[in-house]
Amino acid sequence: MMNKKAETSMEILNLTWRILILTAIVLVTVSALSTVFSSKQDVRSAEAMLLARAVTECIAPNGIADENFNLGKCIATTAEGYFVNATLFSSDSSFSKSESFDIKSIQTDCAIAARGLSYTNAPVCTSSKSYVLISDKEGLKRGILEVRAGIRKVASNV
Amino acid sequence: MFRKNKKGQFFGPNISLIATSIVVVIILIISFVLVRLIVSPAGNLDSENSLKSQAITSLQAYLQTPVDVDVGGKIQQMEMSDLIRLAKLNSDYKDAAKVKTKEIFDPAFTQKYKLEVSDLFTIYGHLDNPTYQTGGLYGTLGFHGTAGVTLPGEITVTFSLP
Repeated sequence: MMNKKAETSMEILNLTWRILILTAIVLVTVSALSTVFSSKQDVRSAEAMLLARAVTECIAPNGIADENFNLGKCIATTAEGYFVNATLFSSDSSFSKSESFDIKSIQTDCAIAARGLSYTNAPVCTSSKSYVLISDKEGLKRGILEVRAGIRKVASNV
Repeated sequence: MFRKNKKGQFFGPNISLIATSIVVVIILIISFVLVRLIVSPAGNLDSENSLKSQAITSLQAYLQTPVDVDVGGKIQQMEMSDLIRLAKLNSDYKDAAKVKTKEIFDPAFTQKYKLEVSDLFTIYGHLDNPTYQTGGLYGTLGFHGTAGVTLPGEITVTFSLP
């Protein structure tokens, strides 16, 4: 208390330390959050899964599929970068029908990707298989619905 | 005593502040590393959701599948859901329900599956070994896509895919 100049210097030093600590806290927090929010997330696998699920529910609502299904009624887009194939066949192999929606031949790339070969602009593909009942003129018969979906869209969503 | 030691006058009060600063910075660095390690994309969630969707569709179709059942010497056609409820009321039809279930799902799913009817039976696909069917090793393998329906009479039917 007697040395007022020293006291003032000490206060300035203390204040400097506090500012440095606060700055360090802010810098670390900003760095941590920026790495989280700026990291890229590839959502194409989720998108392909949702597409396959939507097509399955469209073709076979409540598990019953019409043998004369129309894939075009399930896909309301002409956008590029999507591939969908739906194959409906009976368990006794007496009936089989397959329809595809494929622009830019993603199906071939899906086959390549299935072999584990990675390359630039490779699509993300998924497939689903469900037991369904096929409705025809004679009634209901047991069948299987396989839906394959592929998403390229390299520029978006990645 | 404190005022006589001029060197101590500078460092003394500031040592705690310096120590606290170092501790705070270390905690911040550890938090930063933990955030980087913990935040990661959900890898298996998409495949689980896909399997669950397949299980839902398959279960809906299974319960509506028409089957022929010998009831009192007469062949009657009914849906699988009705046969399950009949088996719950009369255990004589339990084996018929199990046989019909395997006839439905074995051709459709080449991989394993699990169908469980509460307090009635559990079927693991493609295995006839009773040891495995009772749960053992096979029962502990993961089923990641599960769908369930509750029939009238509080009968829960659950279908699972690996």
